[in-house]
Amino acid sequence: MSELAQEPISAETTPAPDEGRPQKSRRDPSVRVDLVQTPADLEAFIRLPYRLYAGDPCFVPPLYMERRDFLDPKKNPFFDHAEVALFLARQGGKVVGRIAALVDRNYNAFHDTKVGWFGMYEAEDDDEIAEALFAEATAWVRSRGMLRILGPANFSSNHEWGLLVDGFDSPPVVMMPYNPRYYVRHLEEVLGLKKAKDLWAFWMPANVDPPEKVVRIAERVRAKEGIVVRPLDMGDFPNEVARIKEIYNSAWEKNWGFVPVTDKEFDHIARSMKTLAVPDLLLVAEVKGEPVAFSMTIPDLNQALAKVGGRLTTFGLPIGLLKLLWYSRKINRGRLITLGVKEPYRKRGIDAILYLDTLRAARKLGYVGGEISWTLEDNLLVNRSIEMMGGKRYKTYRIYEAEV
Amino acid sequence: MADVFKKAYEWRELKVSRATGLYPYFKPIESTNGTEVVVGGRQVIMVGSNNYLGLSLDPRVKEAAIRATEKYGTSCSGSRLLNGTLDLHLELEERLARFLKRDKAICFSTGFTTNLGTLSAILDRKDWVFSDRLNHASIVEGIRSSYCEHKRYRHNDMADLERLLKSAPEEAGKLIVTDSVFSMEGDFADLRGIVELAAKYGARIMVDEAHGIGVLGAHGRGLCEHLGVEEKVDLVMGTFSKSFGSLGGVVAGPKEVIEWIQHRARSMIFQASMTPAAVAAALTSLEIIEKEPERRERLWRISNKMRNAFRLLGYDTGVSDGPVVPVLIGDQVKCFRFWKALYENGVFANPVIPPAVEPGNALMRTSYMSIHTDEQLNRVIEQFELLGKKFKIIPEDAPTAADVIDKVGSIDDPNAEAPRFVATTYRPAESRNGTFRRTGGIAQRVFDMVESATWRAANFQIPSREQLNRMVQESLSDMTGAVIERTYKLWELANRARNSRRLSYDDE
Repeated sequence: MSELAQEPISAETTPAPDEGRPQKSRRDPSVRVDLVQTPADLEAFIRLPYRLYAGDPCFVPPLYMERRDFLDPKKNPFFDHAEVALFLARQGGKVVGRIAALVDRNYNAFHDTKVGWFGMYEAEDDDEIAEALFAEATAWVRSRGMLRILGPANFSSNHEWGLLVDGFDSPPVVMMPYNPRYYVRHLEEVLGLKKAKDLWAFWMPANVDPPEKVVRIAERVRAKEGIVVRPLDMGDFPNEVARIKEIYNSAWEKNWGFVPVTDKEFDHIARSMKTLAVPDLLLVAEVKGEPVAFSMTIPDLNQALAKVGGRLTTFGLPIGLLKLLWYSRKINRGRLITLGVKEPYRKRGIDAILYLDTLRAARKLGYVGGEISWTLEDNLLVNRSIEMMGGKRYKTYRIYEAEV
Repeated sequence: MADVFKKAYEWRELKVSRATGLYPYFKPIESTNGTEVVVGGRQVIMVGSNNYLGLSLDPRVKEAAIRATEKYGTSCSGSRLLNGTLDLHLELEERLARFLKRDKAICFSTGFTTNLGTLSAILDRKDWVFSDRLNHASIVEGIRSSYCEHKRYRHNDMADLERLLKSAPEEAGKLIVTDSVFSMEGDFADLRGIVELAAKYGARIMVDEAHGIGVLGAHGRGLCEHLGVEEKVDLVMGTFSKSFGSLGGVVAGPKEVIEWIQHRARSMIFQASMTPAAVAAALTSLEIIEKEPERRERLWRISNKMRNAFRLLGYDTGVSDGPVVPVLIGDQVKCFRFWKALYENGVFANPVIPPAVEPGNALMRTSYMSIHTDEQLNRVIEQFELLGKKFKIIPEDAPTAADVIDKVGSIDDPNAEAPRFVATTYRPAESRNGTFRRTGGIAQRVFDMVESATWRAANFQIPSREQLNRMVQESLSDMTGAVIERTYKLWELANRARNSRRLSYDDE
């Protein structure tokens, strides 16, 4: 607790509420929800979670500047094809909740549908706040002619996605959402949202040997099909990114909730990952020189971020930055974010080879294990092969939906 | 010895505006679905098309054009006088005469040459013509080529028109000619006033319904029908390139007059006739216009919504009252910059600068189609709010787009009669409240700056050549845009002071 709260970032000067149900403000009991329009509003929007989660041992404070860039339409290419409205709930002048409503035109065009999304949901444990926020988001989405609202999405399946409904006992890995347990009650009981889809996260230990059988099969496939697995060539970064993008967009095409990534977005994501990535964990599988599959595992930066507390500087001194650098060297977990195989090469065991090689590389780096996330609950093929490798499902995230 | 090409080689303005990326014209459209088009690889909402009823993409109209092409070929290869008349042309003319309730109608290949041919044919040296100062260039050209006495009255100013009418000798033939809906300003001609004056001074009236036909009036016959003055108007002209989704023009009136025009108009005799595809498209569109009045109703709802929204935001939309909604920007270069920002944010409108409007009144002309959706319109409103505040055209504390959208409502809501606001615009509050101030003291701000700098430094990657180029270009064009806006203003002022020639048709 002391470490997390060492540099308080709070939306207001009011002290953090005690554990359990916070009390309503006595000044003005009614909840007001406003559109975020001013820099001050945006500031409050970004800072709210730092206050809400203060004291939560599993909360990993995101870098404050990263969040600002993420919400800046000029810097985040997601805004090129989406409209986003941010709302703040205030109670007696104090910021008590926030929500984003968005319409992703690319999603709607790709799926030929009319849905809006909500996301970035944070609120104190108060039914009234939840209702007021959600009412505003739905109204906004409805006014754009949408028929359904889904979420939470911050902002799409290519970013953080879903609400944690099971597995509150450990902190989230990098680029996965985290939320208090009472949000589940808000969304399911108070707002009456229906489950649209569950997303699963698996824990894969690296300190035990993979099952003998899997290794045998994988090695046989590798030999028979002439598959060569190589790490990503960082010296040829732009071309490698282009190759991966092609596989990514074709491999996920039929997945529920998928939105194709635009060139600009892919560039943006690739650039932000470049500093983070360990080349040995970015694997490309080739058949006769043609890339047919790739898997991307990144170190769990959240392990370091948890120690930093959201700011790189304290009183102008780069204390957070130094901490981040120091603890980055001690990361011993990873997250396998994506593993994609081109259509004609599926069901041949190429995924098993990639899992195996990733595992071996992770071991060499001294990792104790990693998360594989997320997979769709009904993606039987993938879930089964992860379990066969020794992965154990340990967290569940959920996407909700409702008519508007 | 002077070279006729000298002026072209030395024309600096074009080069400057191209170099700064502010040049907004001749933009190729790469694909279209009517309301959204792809320009320069970017999908944008089209709010600059005159395809008011969305008919140019109607499958029935397209089908008719294809069938006509298959039957008659792609061209008539000659003028109407000789080998260029098809039975289709005659059918279209008959149908149009019936539609417009006139004795006879004839079609020209374009709207421009309709005005040009008609006016040059019916006017001669002894005639006096009274033309609105803001009339379309084709009317001006038609009058010029007839060598008649040309009098231009102040825009929609009946007192000025009467003064000029009085000054004409009694025995001279007189014609008042006006646009019905002014193409750039979107306002209506005072036809009732004109009809009165014409009766008083014995003048004939010709009305250019280019932007009115198909759009205004219960049956779509234009402003004359809308204002109930059809019988008092002698000649009515229309085009097919707007609501008809085709290309061509028509003039209709008394049989003898039309036949005179038919045999005298040089743009009839010496111009190749409308292509079969264009004729067939116009014919089918005419049918749809007659049969589907709901398109007009929807267009009205859309244009009222947008006009109200712009006015609520604090824009000056003049006295426009139709599917054309101009948004006053003021300065010419600012108008280009505004246009560019709009385009980059996904909205395609048309910048209108002098000589098409008075100097200092540059405007963004938006026009709407009956096929626009609420969602698209709301996006347009949002961009105009955002950029209006950025370019300081509307006050920073003007209402937000969300509020405005709420207030003007949805066009698809059949119960909601769109409120017609009076033409007043939003006025800023006396003093601004402190909502725009950042929170925190000076120390906090300094720490935030350090934080931000650290973040940038930690994230710094050597940009690739392309990214570098793009960044330089963007910042340059932004900066130069602002600089050019100011220098151009000075240059213009200096020019005006030296009383050099102004870019205008105004040659009186």
